[in-house]
Amino acid sequence: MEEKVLDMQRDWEKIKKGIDFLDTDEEKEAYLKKFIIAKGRS
Amino acid sequence: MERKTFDNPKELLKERKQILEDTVRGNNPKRIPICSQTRAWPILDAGYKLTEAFSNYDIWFDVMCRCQELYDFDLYVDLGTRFSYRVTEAMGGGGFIVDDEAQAVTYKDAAHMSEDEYPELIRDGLTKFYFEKVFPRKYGLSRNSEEAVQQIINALKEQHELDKFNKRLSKHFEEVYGVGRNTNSAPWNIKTPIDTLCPALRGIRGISRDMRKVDEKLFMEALDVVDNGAIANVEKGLETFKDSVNITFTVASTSTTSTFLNPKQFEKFDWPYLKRICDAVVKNNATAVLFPEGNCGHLIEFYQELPAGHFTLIPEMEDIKELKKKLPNMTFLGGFPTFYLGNKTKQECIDKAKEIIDEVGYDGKLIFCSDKMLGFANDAKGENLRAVNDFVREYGVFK
Repeated sequence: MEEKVLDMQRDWEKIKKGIDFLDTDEEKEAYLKKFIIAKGRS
Repeated sequence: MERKTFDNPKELLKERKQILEDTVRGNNPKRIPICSQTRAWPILDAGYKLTEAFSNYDIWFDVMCRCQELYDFDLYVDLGTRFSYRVTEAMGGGGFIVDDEAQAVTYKDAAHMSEDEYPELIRDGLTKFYFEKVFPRKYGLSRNSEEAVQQIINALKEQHELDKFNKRLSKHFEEVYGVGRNTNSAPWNIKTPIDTLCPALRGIRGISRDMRKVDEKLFMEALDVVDNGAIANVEKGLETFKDSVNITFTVASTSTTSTFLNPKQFEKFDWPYLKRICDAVVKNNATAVLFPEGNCGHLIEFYQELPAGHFTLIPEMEDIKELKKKLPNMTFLGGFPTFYLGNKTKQECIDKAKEIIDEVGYDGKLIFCSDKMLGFANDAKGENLRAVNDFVREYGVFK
């Protein structure tokens, strides 16, 4: 059984809080989503 | 070689932009524009190791400036910044391998999703699947959740640094060299869903198998989930960016799958999505560059459907002279055999450039460029590249 290292429900908000170079929650959400999509496919 | 200086970059930017616009639209440009696919080569040409430049943005900045001052391109496919080395290093590496000794960047054909995970992908959607399944498999993230979260936060900060570097470099190229951008940033390098499934999730071997073995309904459903209504975003973006200045193409679409999809598979699994994007480009009177990596000659009948004045094709592995006869609706980007730059004499390179201009660029629908990207130090001799670009700038003028 593969170990679950990352959990979206548990970790997503924690990561967003760590984005200190953006101000609003909307900006952080969009930046993180774009990053996950870009790094997932690249 | 003497470095060039660029007088009146503001005017030069306007001129280059007009030449590129006229070339892309098939509208009698003043001369044939020259594009760079130099990618990692300028780093090696400047005598640095790949990791030295990838990890130090000041070195990388100087490398790209040196490249422009020596070779004078009108456009860059990218300014080298596709290599997000520091970002992936922050996640423990992965995605691609940089080998300083071999002077090479290589990508592994790896499957980060197993064949029985299609239902999970459909249920969770792409973002959650990438985050929970692909990231821990693809990158060297810690097995400890707290540490892995911190690694991703660090990678996001590195991404922000890379974004700033990209902006700084683009601004310098516009303001000092009069060179505009290829296209808008990442969201506009559009991938069709099958090109996300492969290579990102199933790899080439996996996707080749799945197209034959996975239940077709399930496979098509997965394509729609991965696509996630992308056309709505494309439409919105075309509207938002319609007045963007100093870019050559509104949309870029790169494909790594079309080289091995047969025409039937392409028609069923890829073309419906790509055609929707192309239709939106035409509807908005925008422009797109299509880059089917590898071979695309077997898909000509599809490209023939696209109307003239909107699309530029990068035919990496095809005989561009043959394609030209079959696709009069396209502008081409490429054509010059990279092999010549590294292995022939200056005169032989110039003769070849003349042949390409005479046979492909005669109607002004050619953005002159090496046919493949330059990755290794021996892919080009600097003096050959300089001689070819100087020749094209003079010979490629339309009277």
